[in-house]
Order: sequence, then C-alpha cells, then structure tokens
Amino acid sequence: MSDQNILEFIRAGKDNAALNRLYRYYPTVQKMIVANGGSRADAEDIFQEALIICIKKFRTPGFQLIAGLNTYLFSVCRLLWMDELKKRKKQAFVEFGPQAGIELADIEADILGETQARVAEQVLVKLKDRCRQLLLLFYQGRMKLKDIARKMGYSSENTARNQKYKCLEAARDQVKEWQKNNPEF
Amino acid sequence: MREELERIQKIERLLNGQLAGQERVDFEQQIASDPGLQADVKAQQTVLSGLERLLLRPGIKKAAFRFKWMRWLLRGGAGLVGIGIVVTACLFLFSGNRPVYKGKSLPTLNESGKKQWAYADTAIAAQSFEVNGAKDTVIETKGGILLAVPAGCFLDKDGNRVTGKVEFVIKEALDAATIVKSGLSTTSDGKLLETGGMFFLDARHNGGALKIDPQKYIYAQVPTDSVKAGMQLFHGERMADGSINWANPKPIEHDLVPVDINTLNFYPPHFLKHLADWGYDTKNKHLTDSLYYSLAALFVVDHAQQTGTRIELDSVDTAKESLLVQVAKPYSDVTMSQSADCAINPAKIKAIWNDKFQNTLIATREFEERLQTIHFSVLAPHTLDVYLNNLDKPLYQIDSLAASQDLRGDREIFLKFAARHDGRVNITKKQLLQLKKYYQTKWKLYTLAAAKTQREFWGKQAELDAKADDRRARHGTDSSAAAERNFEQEFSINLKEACRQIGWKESNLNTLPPATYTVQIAVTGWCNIDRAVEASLATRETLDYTDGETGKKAVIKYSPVSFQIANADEYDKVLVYLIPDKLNSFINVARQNGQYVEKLNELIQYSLFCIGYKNGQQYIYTEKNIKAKAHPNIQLNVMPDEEVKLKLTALTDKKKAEKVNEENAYQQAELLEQKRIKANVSSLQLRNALVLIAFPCWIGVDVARPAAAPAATRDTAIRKPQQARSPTPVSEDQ
Repeated sequence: MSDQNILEFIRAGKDNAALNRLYRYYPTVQKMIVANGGSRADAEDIFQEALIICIKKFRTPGFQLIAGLNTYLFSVCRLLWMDELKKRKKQAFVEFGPQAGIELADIEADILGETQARVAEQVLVKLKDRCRQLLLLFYQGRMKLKDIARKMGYSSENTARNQKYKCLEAARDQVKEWQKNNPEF
Repeated sequence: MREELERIQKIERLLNGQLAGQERVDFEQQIASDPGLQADVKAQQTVLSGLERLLLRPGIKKAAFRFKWMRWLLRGGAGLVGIGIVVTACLFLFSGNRPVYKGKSLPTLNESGKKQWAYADTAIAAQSFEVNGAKDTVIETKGGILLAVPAGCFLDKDGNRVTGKVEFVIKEALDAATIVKSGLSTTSDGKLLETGGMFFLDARHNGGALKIDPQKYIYAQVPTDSVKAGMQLFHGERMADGSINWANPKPIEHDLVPVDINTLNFYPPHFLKHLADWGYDTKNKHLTDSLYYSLAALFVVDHAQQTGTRIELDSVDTAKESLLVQVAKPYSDVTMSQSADCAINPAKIKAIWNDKFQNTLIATREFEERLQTIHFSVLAPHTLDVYLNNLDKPLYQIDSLAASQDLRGDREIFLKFAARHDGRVNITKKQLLQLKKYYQTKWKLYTLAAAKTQREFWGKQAELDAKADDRRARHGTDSSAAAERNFEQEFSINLKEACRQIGWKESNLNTLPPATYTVQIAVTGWCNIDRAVEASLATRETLDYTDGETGKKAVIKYSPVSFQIANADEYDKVLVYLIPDKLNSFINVARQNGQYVEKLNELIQYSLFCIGYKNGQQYIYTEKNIKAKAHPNIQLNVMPDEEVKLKLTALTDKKKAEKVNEENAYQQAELLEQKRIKANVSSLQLRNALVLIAFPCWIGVDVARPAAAPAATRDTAIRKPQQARSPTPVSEDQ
C-alpha cells in the first residue's frame, strides 16, 4: 500500500487497513526510544500518540505530504519522546539528526496543539457511562438520535438530543476550566 | 431546550459547516464580540478534538494488537505446527462451490445438522473465508477477531480429516449496537452477563457441516479494550423462541503478556525494603544484585577438609543444593555451620533474571507474583524448577504441578494460582530446550564463580591474618628485649651512682655482677644496695639507701611526669614515648585515666615524642629535656613522614631515632590491620544479616510472608548491620 493509498484510506475513514500498515513502522520507533532510555511500554504509548496526531493531521483539508509517511511518523515520535525526556529531566543518549523534508516547527505546533485535545479526551473518558455511551453511539456508531433513544431507553428523540447536548456541556465546562487555568496552551 | 443547550447546538452546527448564509455571518459576528462565547466555541472545538482522539483509540489498539499477534505468530507461536502459515488480512470471496452462507442467507441445516436457527443468525451477515484444510491459516474478521486455523483441524461427519477448500464462516457481534440490533441476549439461564463479544463459526465442505478436531483447536483472539478477570467462553443454545441462551461456561485461558524482564522484581520478599532500611541505595541494581548474588557462594558444598582458616572448595554438588553458612576463626570463636534445604540459590535467580528469558513466561508479572511465594515455599528450589522446566505450558498447569508436590501449607496457595487460569507465553520446543540448557549451565557457573571470589578474598585475608600475627609476635619479642636492655642499663647507671654516693670506688664496680642470682656475693653491703637499686628501679620509686656501716646515703630520685594530649579521643591512636639519653631504647609511656604517666630518673635526660594518627596522617609533638611535672594540653601538629624522621633525628641520636621510626611504622601497620579486621567482621555481619532476609525459609527465623510487614519482634534477628559495607565483591564476569 503506497503512502498515497494510506492517506486516502484515512481521509475516507477507513482507518483499520491504514493503521495496520502504519504499525509496521513501530519496530524502528521502539528501537529509537529504547536506545534513548525508554521502555517498551513507553515506545507503545509514544507510537500510539503519534498515530493519533498523524491521522488528525492527515485528515486536515489541504494537508500535503512532502516526505514519506514513515518519516513524518518517526519525526513525531522523536519529538514526543524528546518532550517526555524533558519532563523526566533526562537527556537523550543519541543525538538526532535532521529528517529530510520535515519542518520540525510544524510538527512541534501539532504536538502542542494536541495537548488540549488530550485533556478533553481524559474528560470524556471520565464522563458518566451513559453520557459516554451516548456520545460514542452518535459520533462513532453514527446512530440516529431516534435509534439511540430507543436503545438507551429515552422517552423520545428530543430527550436523547437534549441529553447529548447536556453531555457535551458537561465535557465542555471541564475543558473550559482547564483552559482558563492553562492559558499558555 | 434550555438556552445554553441551544447555544451548544448552534456551535456544533457552525463547526460542522451546517450553518450557512446570513445566520452564519451573524453568529460569527456575535462570537467576535463576545469573549464568553469565544471561550465556549474554543472549548467545544477542543471537546470535539478529544472525541476524535477517543474514536481513534479502538482502531489503534486493534492495529497494535494485530501487529503483536502477527509478530508472535511469525515467531512460531500459538502452538501451530509446520510451515506455510497463510496470513490473510482481507476477506476472500469463496471461489469454490457455491457458498452455503451468503450475506444473511442461511443453509437449510445449521452447524449441528438441525433445522433450528435463531433470530441472530438471520440478522448478522456472514463473513466467508476460503480456507485450505491442509494448511495453517490465520484469519482476521472485519471486527478484528483473529483466528488461527491449524491444518487438518476439520473433520467431516464420519470423522475423516478434510483437506481441500473449506468455507469458513464467521458472524460477529462485538459492539453494543450490533448485539442489540441482532436480538442477542446477554443472559445465561436468566442471569445477566457482561459480554466481551459474541461470534458464530461454521465450516462447510461441499455443503456439509464440519466439526473441529478437539485435539487441534482453533485459536481465537477477540479484541477488547480491557481484559477483565473472570471472563468465560459460553456456548450459544438456540431456543424455540429464536433467542440464544448462553450455557456451558469454560474459563478462558488468556495469554500472558510478557513485559521487560528488567522491570520485574525477583528478589525475595522485603529484600529491598530491608536493604533500604539499612541505608543502601536500592535504586542501584548493580549494588543490590551484588549483595544478593554474593550469597550464591554459600551453596558450595565443602567436601575437603578444613585446614586452618582456609576452606577448600569443591565443585557444586547438584545432588545437594543446600545453603551452608560457615564462619571460621579468627572472625568467630567457633567454626559455625548451619544449613537449609529450602533456600533458593541466588545464582538460579541470576540465571533467569536476564535478557535471555525475555518474551518467555519468566518475563511476566504473573510469574513475578508466583516467585514471591516460591521464595517462602518449604521446597523452594524444587518448586522453582517445576516452573523453569515447563516454560512452554500454560501457567495454570504449572501451578497445578507445583501444588501436587508435598508443599504442606503452601499447597493451597498454588491451587489458588491455578484457579486463575493464567495462560502461557508461547515458545517453541527448541527454545525451551535451549533455555533449560542455558539455565542449568549458568546457575552452576555463577555459584562456582561466587564461591571462587569468596575463597580468594578470604584466602587473602587468612594470609594477612597470619602475617599480622607474625608481625605482632616479632614486635612483642623485640619490645620485651628492648625493655630488658633498658632495665639493665638503667640498673647499671643507678647502681654506679648509688655506689659513688656511698663511697664505693669505681674499681669495685667493675666486678659488679649482672643483675642475676648466679654469681657469688663478696660483700653483704654490696648485695643490699644491689637489691635496693633493683627494687627502686622496678617500682620506679626514689632510692633512699643508707649504708649500715658508714651511714652514708645513696639517693636517686624518681619524679612523676604526666602528659595530657589535647583532643586525644579524636585520634585513631595516640602514643607517647620518652627517649632517654643514656639508654639504648625508647620508653613507651602508659596511659592512665586520660593521661600518660611515668616516673623520671634524675640521672637521665629524657626527650618527649608524642604521635597521634588520624585519617592516615601523623600528628606530632616533641620536646627535649622535659621536666618532671604535669604537661597538660599538648597540641599535636600534622607532619608528613619525612619531617617526622627529621624531627626524631634532631631529638636524639641516629640509632634511637631509627628505633622510634620502626616503632612508628609498626603502629601504623597495626592501625591498618585493625581497620581490615573491623571491615571483615562488618562484612561477615552483613552476610549473616543478608542470609536472614534472602532466605525467608531459613530455619529459626519466621519472616513475614508477602503483603505483610515483618512484626517488630522478628526484627531482633534482622538488625541493621553495624557500619556495614559492601560485601565481598562479585566480579563482573560472574
């Protein structure tokens, strides 16, 4: 599967095949992270975070691939790991050379931008089960509110709609609070 | 709907591009002028961004799961035999005979040969795969279920193995929506279950239903966000009303997930805690390993005769792998020997706690947990070997094997482990044999290496002990001889003076016998003065003798002198010497009650030489022709060796200066010697303390089991070693 194919699959929402292909780059990332003081668990976490960042980036309208997908993915992993090492107050053992064709500043901006989204994700994970289930059925399952209402036992479609927005409101308020306390992000 | 919720709805429509025309322009203007609304939009955008992440997670986890499983399979896992594993990542269209299942259509008879179908059978579309019955195949469904189908696993109705094309059908309901839509229940005989996913399998050959050979099971891995304990595999029974009842639960053997073996803790329970309490840096694994592995030396069986303080070593006797603790003189008044059969040789732990055993059952949290219990087991070495000899088996089977030994009270614990039904980490037979061989070779090598290091060290110490003994003996002899000579000389001086005072002529003195009783005495008076002088000298009391005939007196005064060294207790050792001008050797002044006291003979001039030792340096004070009085608060000053020698030469003649130098050298050597002995004693104390915490089954010490802190009363046996230092080093290549 070529890089262009992978991009097309991702943009079409057919993530599974694309992700399976991208996961073949994992061993290189694991090697890099382990060589720089990380564990295998660190490598898995970093790689999965990088996949999220990359996929969201690839879906951005107007995104153009300059270097190879693996190069982009690897660069994201590197920067994520460097950030992690800084947080752990450690130095990288290996000096990283430049990766051809990648503007690291762009990637750094993407990583920084993802900080808020990570917080929002945690907020959503901690929502009440019914709230989370409703949101997932709507956004992931792409179920109509009418069907959600029936499945979850709401009296009507309107009730389900109201409930959906209440759940979004709960999540939004928590995120707003965080944004207020962390204006630097 | 409340106003706030309507606002959220409007923002959502804006972000989704559903707001158009003037409505959109107006709303954007409103946002631009309202900071509160701006914050709401930003937060809602972030929530949607977070939602996007959440929605990506399952796909990524699935991809991770598939990647690991494929890599594991390609390394020969899953118990699959042979070559030619075909990995499929896409659906195949069945290209053989007309498929029996197509979409939601069903064959006449179900997989059991009956006409009964459930509502779910019709509600869920089939995924059909063409499988070659003679080859190993791996299949992945749309939902991410991975199935390993071994070659020859299909049997026809007569029990014959089926080769050739097989239609392998799967229907899956892994998410809540599908389960609900297809009318599947989550109940078993009326009881509510929590589902981890449902699926249906069927295999057909030429339209006929096939069975699965129970000796060659199909291995299925169902993706999940989190593994929950207690999950079981239920079989679906079609009911008359079209529903499915879940029955015949069987525990699921979940494969173990290896972790980095270097993140696990294979030390005995509380070992690190005790070391931390004793002040050791337990984050320094090199140190903690060194402390623990050095004890492997105690597992060498000593067949040879003990000679003096040397313990001769033999090779490791595998028939008798028991702990043997011995201490010989001079570090113990008796030669102590105690043994314990239950202790695990640390060399065995070293042999498995390394990268060689990565990605095996040893490198799992589950094994780490069991090892904590094994350390306490009455048959610890044998129990450990049960696990190490069966690395290819599921953990629950090994637990059962362990429980079948005569473990007395420990049996229950291993049965509980077995009940968890923990699975395995797949390794090939070849790997198993290689690991067993590696283990058997390495632990013996490590044991011998540890013993060799210990032997070399203690052998060297024994040599040094002997040398020190010789040196002390020689010094004792020399000191005695010097004291005797001094006595004779002072006696001679005193006698000469006494005789002079009484009026004896010198010529008479020439015939004075030596101070023994072996010569003839010519004159009674002479004999008495001789005795009087000797007695005065022996007690260092003033001689006050009156000649009975002439009435003349002979008086030789002895006056007390004392020296008090400032801050004497701060020195490792302080010595005070008097160097008499008329005697050949120095006098070592004795210490009494914090002062150095002596009595000076008025006929002799003395010079003072004080020396203190501290941290390898010398501190000196000298004074010529000291007076017989108290000399308080003498300050010692640091001085290098060469200067000390010069000082001595200025103080006295060359010969005496040399003698004082020799004495100085001896005292310094003794200081070092005492330090060495102290360090060795400390080392042995540490070893004894380590033995108590490294071998919890040690006889006579009841150390608490895991998850319980040791009781206070037990700590009398596990005292912090006094000024403990590192143990006898274990060399790098061990």
